[in-house]
Amino acid sequence: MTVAVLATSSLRLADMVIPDHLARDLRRAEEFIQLAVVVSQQALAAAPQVDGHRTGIYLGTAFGPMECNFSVLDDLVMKEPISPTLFSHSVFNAASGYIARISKIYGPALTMTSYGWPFFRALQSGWQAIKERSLDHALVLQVETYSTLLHHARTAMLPGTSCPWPAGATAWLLSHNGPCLLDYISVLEEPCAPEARLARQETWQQTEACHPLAAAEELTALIARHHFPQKWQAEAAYGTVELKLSQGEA
Amino acid sequence: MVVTDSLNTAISGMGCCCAAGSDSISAWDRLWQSDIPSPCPPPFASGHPQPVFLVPGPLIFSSRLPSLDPENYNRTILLTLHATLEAMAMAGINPATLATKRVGIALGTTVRCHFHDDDYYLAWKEGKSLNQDAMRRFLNENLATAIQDILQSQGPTTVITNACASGTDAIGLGRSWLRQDLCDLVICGGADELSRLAFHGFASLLLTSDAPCTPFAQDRSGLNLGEGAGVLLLEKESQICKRERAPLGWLRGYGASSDGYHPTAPHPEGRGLQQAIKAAMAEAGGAASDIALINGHGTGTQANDLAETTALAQLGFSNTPLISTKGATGHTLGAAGGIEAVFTLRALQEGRTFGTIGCLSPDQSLPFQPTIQKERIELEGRIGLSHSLAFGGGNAALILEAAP
Repeated sequence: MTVAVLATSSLRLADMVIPDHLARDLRRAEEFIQLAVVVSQQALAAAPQVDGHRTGIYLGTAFGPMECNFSVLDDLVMKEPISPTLFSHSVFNAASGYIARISKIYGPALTMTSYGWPFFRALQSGWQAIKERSLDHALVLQVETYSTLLHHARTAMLPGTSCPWPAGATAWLLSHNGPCLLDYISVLEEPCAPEARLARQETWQQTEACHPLAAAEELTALIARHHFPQKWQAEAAYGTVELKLSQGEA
Repeated sequence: MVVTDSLNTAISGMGCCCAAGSDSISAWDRLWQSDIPSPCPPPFASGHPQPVFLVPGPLIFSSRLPSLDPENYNRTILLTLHATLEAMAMAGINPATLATKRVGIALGTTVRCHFHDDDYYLAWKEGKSLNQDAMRRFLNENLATAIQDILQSQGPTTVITNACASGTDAIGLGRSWLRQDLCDLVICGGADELSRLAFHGFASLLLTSDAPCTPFAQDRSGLNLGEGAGVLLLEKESQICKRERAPLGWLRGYGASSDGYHPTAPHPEGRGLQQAIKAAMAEAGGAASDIALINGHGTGTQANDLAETTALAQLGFSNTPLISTKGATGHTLGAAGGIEAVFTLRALQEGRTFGTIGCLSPDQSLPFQPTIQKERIELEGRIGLSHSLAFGGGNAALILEAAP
């Protein structure tokens, strides 16, 4: 069974505008959840007739809603009552719960955590679900918001590093038909030094990148330009990813 | 039940550690003998009186992994390793031989995806000079990658962070890796240590009980948190036979779904749970009448127990024994699905089950009645259902069959 990328979207937090129709639903949500919902809606706009019971959500993240977690920790260490809303939003899969509720998606929702290739691990799971015909659509995401503490630690552990880590999100909607076919995906993750997980020195097609969303954003941009590399390979200290893309039906 | 899984995903080993015992056999036997562990005060300062369930005794690795220094790892990793080594011993797999296999590691956790070093965090907030060892440890503690590193194995790894359904979903994901031929063997399940943050977070949601929890009971007043790990080893049956071993059983079906209803509360009729169970049953090719045992989520909260029993009643279950083991383990969050899958398979192997721990007088208003603590039931079959519900509206179900 073929697997196609039906729609894609990438969004940086700095550019995010919450649409009016989502404002009420997201009024208490943290940035991690807001990014996840807004980017999902953008990708889902390409397929307004999806059957929610035949659609799944596969969300990969390296660091999850880290700032939200520290807000809960703040309450705890300051011996203040913990906000139940904040606590429930600090759980990693809160974002996929919001997506499911707002977009009326009732299929499986898996949130996966990996310091290596979170987008591609999620993509592989969504790809398999479509390939096996257990779903008609799979919404695949990576969301990263990091935290001030993490940025400080990164600067301390990698003195001289200048590569910014912009918060953002990427979403792909997979289906059986679409303009880009995803013919193959392989994800290999390996143990590595903790510094390498922060340096993020990823290499693909003679390009180098240094932030956790870079690879997903790069591929999304390629697909948006209708450039479908027959073989796309990314390498880093934490492993290798290989994809094969081809032209599908517009 | 018609087996539709051409790969015949077999279970070659299982292991668990929880408050009921530090291995799967002693834990189950203890509960069968009505030796119910008592919860204890949390091992940290707290203004909340709610008791918790902790794994008894030290975790010892010296005979199986003599070079391992437990001081280098957090408790969730050690709990996982402990359960994994039990499962591997049961499967007849020497950890030293893993380098020759493609080993998938799919593990669920809730607590240990967060950064947890209070001292580091407070020092950072106060602008003090920081030793980055705490951050290095955090970056080395992705549960699946850490287990891979300790076992020196190669293959796909991922951590599922689906809150209380994490362990069940990790088992489902591991099965899909075998189907894709991404690996020869999958270590899957879940683990969580007791977390101060989660303890206070659940208290803030008013979901925890001041007394030992009583799932499905008239007097239930919330859950108790616990710690533990539960792991299954999945392989293709042909591979187990090559080692001249027999499978313990099979994973016949997996289903997952989203309620799309509320951030923390389940759908009142367990809408998503019904869908997950239907999907798992469809994959297994069976009907409600084929199920000999239901090991429910059974947390002891008003909302969970009502949603869960409503779902089971609406699915057409009638006289199938329904139990919950959280009265003996606490709610172990990311570990719960793993531990409960192990208990389910163990009961199916034995052909009998104890009742719901802590449930002395069931809530008669629940649409599907549980088996109460003192009951002992001979099971009428070897196929069981184990399912989980989660924050965020996630639901996951497994259909397990014990070998004759």
